[in-house]
Amino acid sequence: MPSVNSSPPQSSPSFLNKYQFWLFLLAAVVLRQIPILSIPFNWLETYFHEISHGIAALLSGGRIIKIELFANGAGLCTTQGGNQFFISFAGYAGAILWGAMIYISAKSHQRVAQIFSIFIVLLLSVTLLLWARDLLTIFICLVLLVLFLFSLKAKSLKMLQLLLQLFAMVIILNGLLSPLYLLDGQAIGDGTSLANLTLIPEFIWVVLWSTFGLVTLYFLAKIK
Amino acid sequence: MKITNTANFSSSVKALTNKTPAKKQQANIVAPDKKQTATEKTPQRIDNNKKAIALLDSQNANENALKNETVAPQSAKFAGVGLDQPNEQNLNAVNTYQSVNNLAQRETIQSMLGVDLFA
Repeated sequence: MPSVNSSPPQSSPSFLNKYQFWLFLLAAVVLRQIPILSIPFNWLETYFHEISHGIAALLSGGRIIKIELFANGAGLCTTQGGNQFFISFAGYAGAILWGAMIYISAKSHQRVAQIFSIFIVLLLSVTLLLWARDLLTIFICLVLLVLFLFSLKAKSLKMLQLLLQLFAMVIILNGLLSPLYLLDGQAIGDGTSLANLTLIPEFIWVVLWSTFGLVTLYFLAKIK
Repeated sequence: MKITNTANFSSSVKALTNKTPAKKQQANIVAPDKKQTATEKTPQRIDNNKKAIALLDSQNANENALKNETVAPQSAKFAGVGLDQPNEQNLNAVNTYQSVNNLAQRETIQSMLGVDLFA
């Protein structure tokens, strides 16, 4: 049976433990550059982005009609009702929050990491059952499901923790960089929706999301 | 008549180049005038026209052959498998048009059902 204990007590942390955050960040940066291997990891951020829109809709009294995920990392969440501002803002901010929660849960305790992984598996299963309507979305959700199930089936819980930390870092990094794609001159996306709702330019929203990502990274780096 | 005049003119041109004596020349000039009647000239003209028509026909035939040669490669190209296949540019244009159409449809559905799309 795998050990349930948290990280072993150490008076002087090793190099890996000391620079774990930066090593994961470096691994995430490298992973993003690898052509085929990076694809499912990019889908992670897209999924958490779209599910954040959906959860925001549910929390503000609306409902999710469907979630669409595309192979190129794009996504679409169709909702009915709810608070438009909250739903629009939740996409990029939510993805970063999901990444932070996965990272913190993985770092805090092995059992917490396990429970959080099971929760994500359940969330993916519910998405598959209720909101995935097309074959591509079903396929992508299945790939992500396999990714988390594989992590849960890891030989040791320590391995699960490491994998979850890597997933989290990829999600946060993508969440930090993806708002920058909104600055393409095209009036589409969450930034434009918020600009139309609030009259605050899209650029400000992009800066806000990116700053939120940087601040999150800063706090995660501070966690011992 | 113009025809006779031209005949006279040609014969007079011939006369200029001939080295026969002037009287004979005059006789030669006058003689064709007497021989050349309307009934005699018409068949000649018909003969000439037949030649011209034949020439025109052969020219037309050549032109058609040339046209066929220039058209033939294209028709051979289109007679193959590529006849019904639109080129890549056309496909791109159609795809772009359809994507715009889908966006329009989405907007219509959005306004009809009151749903919101978040990317």
